Amino acid sequence: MEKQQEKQLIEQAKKDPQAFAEIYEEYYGPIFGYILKIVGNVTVAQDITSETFFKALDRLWQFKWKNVSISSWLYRIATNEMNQHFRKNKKIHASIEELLEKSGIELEDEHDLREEVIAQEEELARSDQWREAQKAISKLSEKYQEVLSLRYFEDKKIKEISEILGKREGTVKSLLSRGTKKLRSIMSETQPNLKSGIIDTQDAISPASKINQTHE
Amino acid sequence: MNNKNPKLINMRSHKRRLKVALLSAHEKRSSIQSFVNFIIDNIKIMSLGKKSTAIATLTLAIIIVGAGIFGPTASEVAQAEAVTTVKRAFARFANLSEEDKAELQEKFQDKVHFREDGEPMFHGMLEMTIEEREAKHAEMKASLADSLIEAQAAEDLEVIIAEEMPKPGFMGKAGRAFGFKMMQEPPKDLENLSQEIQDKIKEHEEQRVEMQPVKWLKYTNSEGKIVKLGLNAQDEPVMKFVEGEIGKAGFGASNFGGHKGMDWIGKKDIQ
Repeated sequence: MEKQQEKQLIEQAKKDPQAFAEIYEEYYGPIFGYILKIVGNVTVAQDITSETFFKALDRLWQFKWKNVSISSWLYRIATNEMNQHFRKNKKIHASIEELLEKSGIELEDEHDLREEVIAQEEELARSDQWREAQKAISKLSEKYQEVLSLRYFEDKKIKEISEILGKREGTVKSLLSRGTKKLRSIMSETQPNLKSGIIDTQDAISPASKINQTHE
Repeated sequence: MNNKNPKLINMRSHKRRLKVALLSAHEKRSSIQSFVNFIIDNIKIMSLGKKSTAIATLTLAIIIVGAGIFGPTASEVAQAEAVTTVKRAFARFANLSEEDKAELQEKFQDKVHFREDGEPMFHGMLEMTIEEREAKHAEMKASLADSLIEAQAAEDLEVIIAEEMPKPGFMGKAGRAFGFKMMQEPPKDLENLSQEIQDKIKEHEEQRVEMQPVKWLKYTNSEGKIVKLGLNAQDEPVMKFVEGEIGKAGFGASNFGGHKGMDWIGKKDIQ
């Protein structure tokens, strides 16, 4: 989506929430994927995605356009929601089903919904390398988890990570560097014989080399 | 590494459900929710000083509301005040000399008034013969100490200020009604009266002030009658009204119909 178009949509959505639908359509997939790769559970990822968009729509009035895509703002909300989920095991304020029931809306796609969850769980089960990385990253402190997840799961650039987390680029670089070392250490401890580990494999770009690529 | 990420399924169904829920719920979101968000968001961006002020204000508000909910009720406070007043009256009475006690007692018993069930007017002890007065004395607890003991024992004891007291009608000796207002009105044009009368009036006026109740203890006695015990500025019992169940009759307009007493009852009292 063009930035100018996005800006107009946001201004429109502030007055008419129906206009938010277009923003939602554009960013549902990336946000859900980001959350899923970090939490590693389809149902929990769906709940946090729901909460992220509910919060975004509730607080859209305070979003100020600074020539930065709203996706950064959505990623930040999603990151905060995940942090809250891990810290407090926070319950979402209302399930989609409750809201639909209250609104008197019946959507006959229960079967599809279950199938989607099952299919996604199967895909997660197949991704051994991601699973290993996800487990290792989850052992790190929150500040490292945030930057490493955005860098390696979402392939975000330093500038983008900086915008999402509201941290200086220098800080992000530093966190990435230290976080990667810690991640390597954890992965080598848990799987000392791993030769094709997520960091060392040819397919995966080495965090260190990727950082260098970005910086250089 | 991205190649090793799990493949993402198109969550078509969840996406659709969330979209519908999101937009329909948002329409129903109350303005209260928006207001709460607004407050929370503003608190987040407040400086530490402003946060401290906000927290202090909120704490104060919670204390005030909490005191309102969990603190003593108005009736509890009123009763506590009444009990304290009785204690002060007891202390005052105990500290009087025997001579002063006797003098006050004598004045007090003349100021004990009663009204039997259904009667429209109050009677005073002075209306009765000595025999009748002696018989009524015990019944009306016309002694100071007895009155205070009776008040202290009452479960519904409360204090009412003098302004809140209805103005009762009294049955005078000759069957004429007179009221509180008349008792309190100082005579006018004193200069035209003889010195002897002026001295008597002055003496009466001093006594009137001394025996003027500034507040009243109200309670139900052991016989179920409403008692109003007037205390002067020194917390000395100076007046007493004992009224039967149909007490309202004495203050109502209908009971004064065609009677002079009607003039002393304000419209507010009648209504």
